[in-house]
Amino acid sequence: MPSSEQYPRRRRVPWRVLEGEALVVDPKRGYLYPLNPVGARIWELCDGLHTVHGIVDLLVEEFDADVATIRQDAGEFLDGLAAAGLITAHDAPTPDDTEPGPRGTPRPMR
Amino acid sequence: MIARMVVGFHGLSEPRRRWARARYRPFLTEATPDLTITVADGPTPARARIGVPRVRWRHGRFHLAIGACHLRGRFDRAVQLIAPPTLGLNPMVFRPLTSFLLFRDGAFLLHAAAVMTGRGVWLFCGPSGAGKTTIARLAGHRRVLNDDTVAIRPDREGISAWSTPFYGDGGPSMATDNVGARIRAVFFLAKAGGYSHRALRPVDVVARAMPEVFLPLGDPGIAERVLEALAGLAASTPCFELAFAPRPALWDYVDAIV
Repeated sequence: MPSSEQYPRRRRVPWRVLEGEALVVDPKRGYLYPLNPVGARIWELCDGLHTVHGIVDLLVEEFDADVATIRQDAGEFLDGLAAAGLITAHDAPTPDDTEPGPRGTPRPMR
Repeated sequence: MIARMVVGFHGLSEPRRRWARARYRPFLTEATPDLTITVADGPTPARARIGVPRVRWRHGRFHLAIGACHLRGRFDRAVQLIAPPTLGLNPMVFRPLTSFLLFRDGAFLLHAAAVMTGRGVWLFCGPSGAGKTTIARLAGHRRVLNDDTVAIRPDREGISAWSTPFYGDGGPSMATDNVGARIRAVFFLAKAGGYSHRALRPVDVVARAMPEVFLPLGDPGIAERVLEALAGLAASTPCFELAFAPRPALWDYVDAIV
């Protein structure tokens, strides 16, 4: 995932941040993605304005963590979001129902 | 009438009309419908598989597909249900259809048992097998709104739960009244050998409740409104995880929680 690239959220993906954690709904496939505080912050920053580099810088600042670890974790997380079709990314893999998507297992909805 | 929404049906054959009147008797009303649906026969599929409903919108027209049944139209004009003769108003189809229609008012159907007391409605939410019917059967003198599916309606006074005709294993005796009231508490069920409970954070409440909403695929607007309503419910109502044993003492335990 190039660090200068921006990865905006898809417009028609409902989400909510509650007490620092996020719930993201994929209404097309009926999945619910619970995101932990770091994941929720990355999701918020996928606004089309922040680059991967900018997101990593902010996370390092806000979560007081090692830059290399954050860069790797954020990259993997963004790859997961792109694979699940929740953010727009070039060369993202085709969404597949069996893919785990972003951190943790998506919960199928009724 | 379900959760104050009044829907009329035209085009039912006399036998089907009689069947529907008997099946949904407590929910019949003489009130003027908010929406009238014209029912027409469609082909009967080789396999009656319902699956997950899907909705598509185009230029203000919707198409809700529930297996071989199709609800099409515009809410401000005509709405038509095309369904195999045996399925038209069958609860398997009528339940997701009702949930879709309720979304217009910001209401929706939730997989939960509901029991009403003088203090409000206790909701017991969980998937099939979680113990909803068991809890409803143990309710004693308390009024059971339903043992499987309730309508949730946010309004100016708060969020209320309403009975529906979509009963579970408890049968028709679990859906005899058409009533609703403010939700007093929500419990997410877990079977256990004894009794225990713990308060849930709002984010956990929404994460647990969302999969229990009868939500069609393909409509981000509906999902958005349900997320908002559940977040409101989680913020305004005490919500717990309840581990319970199926014994009459359960209700003494529940009454003492809230």
